[in-house]
Amino acid sequence: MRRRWKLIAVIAALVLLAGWGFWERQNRIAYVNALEANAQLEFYNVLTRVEEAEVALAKALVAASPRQQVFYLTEVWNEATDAQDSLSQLPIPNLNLSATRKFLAQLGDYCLSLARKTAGGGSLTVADRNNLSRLQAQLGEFGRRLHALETRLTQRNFRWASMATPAGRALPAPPPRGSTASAAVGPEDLSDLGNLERQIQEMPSLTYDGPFSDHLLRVTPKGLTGARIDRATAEAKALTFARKADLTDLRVTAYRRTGGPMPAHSFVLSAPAGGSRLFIDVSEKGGHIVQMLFDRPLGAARLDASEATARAQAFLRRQGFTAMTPTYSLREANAQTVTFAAREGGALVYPDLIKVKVALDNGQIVGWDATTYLTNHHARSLPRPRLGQAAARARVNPDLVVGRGRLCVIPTAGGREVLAWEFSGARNGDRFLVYINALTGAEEQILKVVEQPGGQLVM
Amino acid sequence: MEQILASLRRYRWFLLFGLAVVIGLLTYTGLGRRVEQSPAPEIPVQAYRPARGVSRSDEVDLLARLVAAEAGNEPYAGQVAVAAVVLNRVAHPSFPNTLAGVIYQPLAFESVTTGWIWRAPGLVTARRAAIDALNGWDPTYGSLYFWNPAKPVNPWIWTRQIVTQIGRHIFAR
Repeated sequence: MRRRWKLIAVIAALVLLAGWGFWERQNRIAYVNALEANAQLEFYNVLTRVEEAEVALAKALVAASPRQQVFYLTEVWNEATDAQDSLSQLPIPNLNLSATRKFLAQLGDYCLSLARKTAGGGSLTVADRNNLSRLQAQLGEFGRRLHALETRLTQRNFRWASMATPAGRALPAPPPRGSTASAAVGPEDLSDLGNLERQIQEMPSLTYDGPFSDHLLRVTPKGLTGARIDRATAEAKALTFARKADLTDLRVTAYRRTGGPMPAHSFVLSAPAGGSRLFIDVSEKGGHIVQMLFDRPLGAARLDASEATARAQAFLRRQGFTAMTPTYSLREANAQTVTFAAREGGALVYPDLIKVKVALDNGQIVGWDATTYLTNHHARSLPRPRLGQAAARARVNPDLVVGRGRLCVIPTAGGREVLAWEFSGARNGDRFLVYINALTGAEEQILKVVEQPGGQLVM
Repeated sequence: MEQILASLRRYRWFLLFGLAVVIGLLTYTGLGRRVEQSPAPEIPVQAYRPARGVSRSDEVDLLARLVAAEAGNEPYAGQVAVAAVVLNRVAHPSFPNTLAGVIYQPLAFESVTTGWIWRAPGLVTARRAAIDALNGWDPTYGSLYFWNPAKPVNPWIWTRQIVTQIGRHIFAR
């Protein structure tokens, strides 16, 4: 009798185990199917968007009126951006599609910049039309390849989920009835995309007035002036800088060379007792302090934003930056980060920014970032504004309650600089900054100021 | 049937033991395991403000989690650097143009594949690093990739232009 009970217990346990295993397997199938559906959605999205972008681009080239051109060019931007988004979300291992994704993003950005130009009264140049024709041909090729790929993936019953996770890999799908699918389905099925990638890499670069233009992907810093310095000089500069920031008693504990667009001597400074570390980069060319961060934990705030700003400004002056104006300021985690812009001939120069981070517990300077300043600063010969303040103000939307204006230099999305009148205005309690070109009177840009606890963000 | 029952009886202790081990293992790896909750990040309570729907706290949360998971044991500059790489990707045409798009891009970050991003401790420091990166600090000067040379990586990655090494990570454009 006892034996029989034991046997029943064992069998019951085995049945439970089998049931549980089955349940787990069903779960896994559900997860893998959800993953597969999501990936297929993205794949078919890429296909559709690329085709629609090509059609819109063809229409833009045929359209005669600026109104239709703007409409179709904007549509290309929309479709291409969506296609890039979906392509990025496909799980494709061992295949780098950077150039393909860049092609889509840049194509959209370029068409948007042309739409903006056309909407502003400009027209498409011969070069623009040639570029668009070339891009249209490339898009058509992209679409054809995607179609061929889709046909093959369907025939071979390819599963995206098998690319994404080991769980998906371990769950081979049975070939559909009547198909001659081979068992081997793998990343090599996607080699078409790899071929396309190589083809796109060969394409000439595209320069235009937009953030993804090729000329902006390799900028050379304009503000790095002076002779090359060696490691010892850089070390002395780093220690002097730290001392002036009220960070005393530090010694160099590590050194490395940083490459990239602004090669620098990088030091780590620590107190003899250990603990917090200070990271500082001194540029090889000219020995400028490019950036600094001190990772000390910050205590409860005893200073307010205006005291912090005053300290930051005093520190900047000690560093030799006498003509800097605080613009916006943000308080987070007991530190105030104040952004200063250079001043030149009565205009605020927004491309030349230095950020100073002040600890609100004792007023130490715990952060410094002059990367933007060193990238953009150069001797500018600013033109005289052709528009006076009153004339510029008349161009601001009458719904805005506008305060005083000031002259400034702003960077465009494509990296050009524009002399503009900046007006701070309010509507329904929301604050805005409106920029009117001081030479042409065009409305260049609108920023929304978002009040945060302890500061503002501009968007 | 008799024979099967007999052999079952014969090996009953072995079977029971094996069963216990299997159930124990399965329970440990999956079934009974609770998802560990990291403490909810503090979001300052604010009064109504006219500027609606725009805040940076969501970006700080997203970024801090990735930094904690990918670089939790790295020096502070290394954490800022990882956050900066993510932001450089958002601004680059070869990558998705939103923060969530970059972070959750399939196969982009190991910690998302393993789920560590939702469990990693050390969010306090990671949040500070994320904020510094959002404020513009970039110790990697525009790098788009980082990797730990001690771990197996795609050989393709070594073709990139290396900018610097911070802690255990190499950063490249």
